[in-house]
Amino acid sequence: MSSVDLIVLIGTLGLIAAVGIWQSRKQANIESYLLGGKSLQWGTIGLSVMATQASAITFISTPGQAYESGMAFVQNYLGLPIALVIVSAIFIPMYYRLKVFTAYEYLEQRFDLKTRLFGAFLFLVQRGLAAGITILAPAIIVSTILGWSLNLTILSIGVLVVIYTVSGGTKAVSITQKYQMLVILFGMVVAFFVIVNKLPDRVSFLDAVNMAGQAGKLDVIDFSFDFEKRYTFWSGILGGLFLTLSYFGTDQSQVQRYISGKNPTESRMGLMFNAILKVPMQFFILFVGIMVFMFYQFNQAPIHFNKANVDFLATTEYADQTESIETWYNKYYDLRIEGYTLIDKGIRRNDEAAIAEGRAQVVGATAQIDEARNQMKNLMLQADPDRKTKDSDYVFLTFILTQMPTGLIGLLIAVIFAAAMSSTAGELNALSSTATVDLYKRLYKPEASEKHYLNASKLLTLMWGVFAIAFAFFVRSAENLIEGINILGSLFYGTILGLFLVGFFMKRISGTAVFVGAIIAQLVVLACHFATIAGLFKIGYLWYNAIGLVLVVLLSLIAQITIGGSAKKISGD
Amino acid sequence: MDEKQEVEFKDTPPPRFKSWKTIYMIVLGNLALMIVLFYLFTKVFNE
Repeated sequence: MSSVDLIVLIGTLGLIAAVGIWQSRKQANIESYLLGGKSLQWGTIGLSVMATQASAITFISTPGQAYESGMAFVQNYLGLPIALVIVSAIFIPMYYRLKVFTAYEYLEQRFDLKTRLFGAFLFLVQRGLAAGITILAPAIIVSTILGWSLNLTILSIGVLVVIYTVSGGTKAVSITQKYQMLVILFGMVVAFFVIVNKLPDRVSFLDAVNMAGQAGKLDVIDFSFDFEKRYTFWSGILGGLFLTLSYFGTDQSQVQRYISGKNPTESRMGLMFNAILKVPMQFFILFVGIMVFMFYQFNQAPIHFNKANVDFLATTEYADQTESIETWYNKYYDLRIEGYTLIDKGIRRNDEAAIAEGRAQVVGATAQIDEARNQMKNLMLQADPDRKTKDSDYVFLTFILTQMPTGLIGLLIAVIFAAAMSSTAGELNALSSTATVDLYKRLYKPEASEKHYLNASKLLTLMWGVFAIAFAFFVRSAENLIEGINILGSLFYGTILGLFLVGFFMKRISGTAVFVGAIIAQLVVLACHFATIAGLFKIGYLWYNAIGLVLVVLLSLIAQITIGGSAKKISGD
Repeated sequence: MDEKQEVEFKDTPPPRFKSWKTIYMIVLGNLALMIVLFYLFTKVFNE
């Protein structure tokens, strides 16, 4: 990385952090610290909600996912706009009516203290672990590809986030997220145009899209009811609805973003901004990956995008085999490029025979290229059975570092860092709010001065920040952990959403009934997970969300009938 | 219990529109339109 790129990287991130700290420098009480003085407007809220959800992995992995598997992943987001309409219509009025600092306060207002503490506890466990991974996962990829020290990368993401989150609270988080998101969107748009510009002169943009379609990369929508397929319209719109409803409606890292709005209208508009733009944005990020795929149809791609793995192989007894596989790979890569040239000439001369010959050459060469890549991965596993051979996360970063002009490299690495920092800041801010309001203030020190709570919030933000950085330091492999965090979220999201939906829609259910229902539901979900690990049966982890939710609803009803008890009423009920 | 004073929720209409229902219909209509466009995109570039 050149010094110009380094200046762009440090300058962009430092400037954003400085603006955030400056604009939020006056924090007089806990409301201004945790709710940003309820002064934020919809544009800031909208970008801040978007930045909290989009982690660095979104911008590193999503183009790589499209490169490898095509556009179908966008279907996962189809339930999101519906979920945001529900949050806007039902959750926001309730949170404003009760003037809550955290989502879990609602549970005490509607049910009782133990239900609130249960909800807050599930959030702290899940999000506390996730905060460490949000820093670690991109740090591993960035440090591997740039050859930086992992610890230094973790520290450069973590320390800056902790400084501005502790100093400026929610307002600093939202303001920095706004600018970070603008940098991210600008960076991705610039990257897109640079990639398209790098396609060969003879290949127009439409030609490239057509070729990507021929390669089966542009299957966006799949209406089949195949449960074995990972991404279909139905799994996206139904599974995505429950997952995003729980995330946006009950996860404090999102709730805190929109309840800090100046009024309910600003909060709602911020969410509607996301409901309109999130799906096209994900489509666009995937499409960037498709264009990278097309670029590498005409220009040679590395045999394996994680160079550290290839370098490792060169030091083992498999070095000779590695070399011969690379020779084989290079030969067929050249043949594929020739095949594309034939197709191109055939199209220009309207020569069907040349087109057919070119296609056959591309198909044959692609099969050989894929085989060479697989053999390389097999060699890696033979040399080190624990090695992670999935390289799609490295595709986009490799492209940035090898093909982008100086200056833009720095900007796009800033995009990755900004995304990591914005989601980490949202998490630390929410963890501190929940620990302060739902535990410290509620259980330990209910009567204290505003200044005391302000200092307690700052101290707790710092503690969560140190915990997240320490977690990232001591855990060294992220690949399984990312999946682990998704599983962890799915283990608890169904139960948490169940608590809120019973509260909103089942007015006769008492606190004790829903608490018993939620505890049993949580135990059943955990039992399903451990049974799956033990191999007794197999349930995909996304189903835990639905199982938890349905069980909370049913078991609360049964518990209400058997235990009884009267439900609390709150205004609007 | 943590005593919280409930406040009346004033459901003000969104800017430039009569009601939130209109905004929600626009959002859901936009989603339906995107699904149709994605479907057409899949069809057109797969042939």
